[in-house]
Amino acid sequence: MATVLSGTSGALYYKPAGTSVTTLAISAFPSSGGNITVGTFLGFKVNDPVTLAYPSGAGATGAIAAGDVFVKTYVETTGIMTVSATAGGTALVASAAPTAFGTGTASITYTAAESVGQVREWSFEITRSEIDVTTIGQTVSGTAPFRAYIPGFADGSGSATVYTTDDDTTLSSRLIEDVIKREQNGATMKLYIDQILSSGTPDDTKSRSIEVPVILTSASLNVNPDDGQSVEIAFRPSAAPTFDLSKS
Amino acid sequence: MNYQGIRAEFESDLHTAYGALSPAVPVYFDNTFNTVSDAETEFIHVNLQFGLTTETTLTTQSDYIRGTIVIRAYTEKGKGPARNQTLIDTAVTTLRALSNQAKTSSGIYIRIGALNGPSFGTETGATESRLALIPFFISRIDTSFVAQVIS
Repeated sequence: MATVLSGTSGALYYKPAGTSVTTLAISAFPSSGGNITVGTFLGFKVNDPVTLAYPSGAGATGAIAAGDVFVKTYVETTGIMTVSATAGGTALVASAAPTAFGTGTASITYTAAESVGQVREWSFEITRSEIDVTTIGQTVSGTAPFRAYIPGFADGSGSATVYTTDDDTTLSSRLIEDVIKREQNGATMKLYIDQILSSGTPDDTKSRSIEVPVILTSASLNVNPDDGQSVEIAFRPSAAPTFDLSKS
Repeated sequence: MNYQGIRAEFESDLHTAYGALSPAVPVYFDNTFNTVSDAETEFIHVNLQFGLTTETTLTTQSDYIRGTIVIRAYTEKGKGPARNQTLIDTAVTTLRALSNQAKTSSGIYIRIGALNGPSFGTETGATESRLALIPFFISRIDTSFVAQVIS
């Protein structure tokens, strides 16, 4: 028999804003040392899990190896990043620059969406504009003629309410700061409808979710003597959502 | 629907937790006789009630299991609340741990609501009343829960 899911099956995961750089040229990578020039005033923070990828056909002998790494340092004003193989580990260094990018570019992006923290609720609405294409001159019958419509652009909006806790390491703090981040590339919400965990991490095959790149439009902080502190975040899609509503 | 499995999730964890105390504290679940001797000074009562367990649709019904659980801790009267609150804290810890278990692809998934209590009745008619003619000091916690039998 089918089971109605309660809200407790859901979850909210997030990739922070300013953590997606997909246009890195060869000149961004060092021939010695570990300094990668990713760009100024992005949203990377120390120990962020990021994925370094070179374009197809590129040579990486002696270069910082592609793959999942962690941000070791990032200086906003210079745009220089170093990465490490483990969180808090020593910085990876290159003995040669990567080669043969051709027309492609390298990328450094936040590896995977992570749990936001103490999320009370989230909501997401998808809408579609309608275009009236009613014509006159229809054949008269016993019923009134109906208007005709075709679908227009899709749009959406969402919100999430997150409790503020004494844990300052959760991504909920990033959510608030990211609202006023000038560069929001990479901000992505992963809205779980039914989150199945395997060994403590989401099993995205069995889970059901909606992943959507977003712009963050507001953060409303509520602090009063009577209620738990909470923050309401509003967002809307910056590109089409990806629906994974299948359990397999 | 698996009422017994859901009940077992609560009862087995509570039984284990109170059994692990030193000394172990007896726990009495629904429809079990409280055979505690007069010399026994502390024990736990657990009452689990299912509420609405389905949702109706136009053509059929779907599972949606909800209920409440009430736990009472009985301790000696006239000795202050400390021991009683210590005992009821074990129930709180157990329920919270149960509610923190991850949802996996099989088994029974439980989430509790906000915990209410421990409360100590003040009216003479209240079961937990400190004024009632019961030779125990009684505290009570209760909470709602939702459960899903994952298949």
